[in-house]
Amino acid sequence: MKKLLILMLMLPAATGFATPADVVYTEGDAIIRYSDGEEMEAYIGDVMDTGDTVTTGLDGFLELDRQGVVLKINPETVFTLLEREADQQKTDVLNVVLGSIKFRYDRITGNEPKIQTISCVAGVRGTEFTVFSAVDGSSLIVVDQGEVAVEAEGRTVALGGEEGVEVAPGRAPGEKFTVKRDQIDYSAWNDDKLEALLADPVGSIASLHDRLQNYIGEVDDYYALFSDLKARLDTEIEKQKQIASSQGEEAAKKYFNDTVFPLTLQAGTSGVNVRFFSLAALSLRRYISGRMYLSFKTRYIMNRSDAVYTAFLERYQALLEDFEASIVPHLVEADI
Amino acid sequence: MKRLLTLLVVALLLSSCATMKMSKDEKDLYYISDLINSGDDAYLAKMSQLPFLVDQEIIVLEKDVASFWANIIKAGFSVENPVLESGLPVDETTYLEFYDSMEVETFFKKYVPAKARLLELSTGEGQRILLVVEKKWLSRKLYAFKGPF
Repeated sequence: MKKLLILMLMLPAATGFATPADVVYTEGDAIIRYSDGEEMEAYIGDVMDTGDTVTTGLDGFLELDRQGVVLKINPETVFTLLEREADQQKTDVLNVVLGSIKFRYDRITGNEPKIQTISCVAGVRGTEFTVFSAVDGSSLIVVDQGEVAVEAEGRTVALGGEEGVEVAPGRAPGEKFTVKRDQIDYSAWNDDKLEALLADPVGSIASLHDRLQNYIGEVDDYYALFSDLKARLDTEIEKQKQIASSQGEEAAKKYFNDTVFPLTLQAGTSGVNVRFFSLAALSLRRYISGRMYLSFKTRYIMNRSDAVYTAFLERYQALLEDFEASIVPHLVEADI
Repeated sequence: MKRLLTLLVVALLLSSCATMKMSKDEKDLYYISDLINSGDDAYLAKMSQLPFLVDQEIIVLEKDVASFWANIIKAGFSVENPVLESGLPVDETTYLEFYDSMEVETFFKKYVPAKARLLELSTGEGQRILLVVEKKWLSRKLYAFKGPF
């Protein structure tokens, strides 16, 4: 049933259910990986949809126009368009997995997509801001103009113009600070994060493991809800058939509108969230924890019995096992 | 005529001996070991296909593959006195030599060509390394690396 759920959810994406984003400018190395697993070099005029990922290389840059929002995707960035359901409404999510993106809104409609990183979610009421996502999963949000609300671990920080905040994975947002436009040196900030990460291998992997477990909790909850709704839906569809044969087509149609259809919508939206949190967990696995593993493997390759390294590997193995047991059943080959 | 035939047989024997001296797998193994030992991380990165597998990790960023080779060489990693333990065509079970997961199984299914070979080598220090290599005319493509273990 899990694979069926994924296929059901991939279909709306393929038919452009969410708001697509058009590639309006590209230079250097920029690759789009589509939700069906196909990878293509990005060209002006390409369209990105839910589940698609863009990756820019060292010299890569890409500009997307998403109906009133311009996204300037900087070099060495990984960005995914996702979709989730909240408060009975589907919301697009712009997922900055790694690197940095500058967002510029031409207009605010009140229905702006959420901006997500590994460590936080930003609600947009602003017009111009940049999201940085570091090698350890930390995020930095800097607002040029307007307002952005940054939420993590139950705490929200409201940022105004020329203000910024940093969020470590698994932590609430820090204190906001004042920053002048374009004064953030992302590269230096990312290097600092890498240095801190290398100084504490076990602490770094533990905080990522905690983050993964949060995603797993969400996946489990929404999947339990989906399964329950699906079972109820099957029962109600049977009832609808009985009504059709005993009371006629008109009564069956009314039963469908009053009972079956709302249940179908509820099952669909809970399924969207299963997919959303599974893909967010895959991003964490591929671009944050996987790269962390490589950093430590190369650092300790000549000293593999080092106590710190073996402690890191032990925790890493636990992360891999959790991922395999709880997230992989909700993925398909095209995701890999 | 008889002498000509004898020469022909000897020539054939010699040429077959020459090819028996070193198998294609051994040539690939020594070629890659030499690149590691001589510190040619740039060429190793160029040979490595994307995505590239290291142990159980699927590396999708070109920069990360380049960093991997550069950093293991910088750390002093080398392959001393390599010996080919086995050379096998990849098949549907090869992923198990790397890691038993859906991700690694899918990696082999989607990204590794059927003509690639799994090379297992041991080093003078008693370590083992796995490589997945495809030889194409005058070039080699590297798909996966595991080890040392």
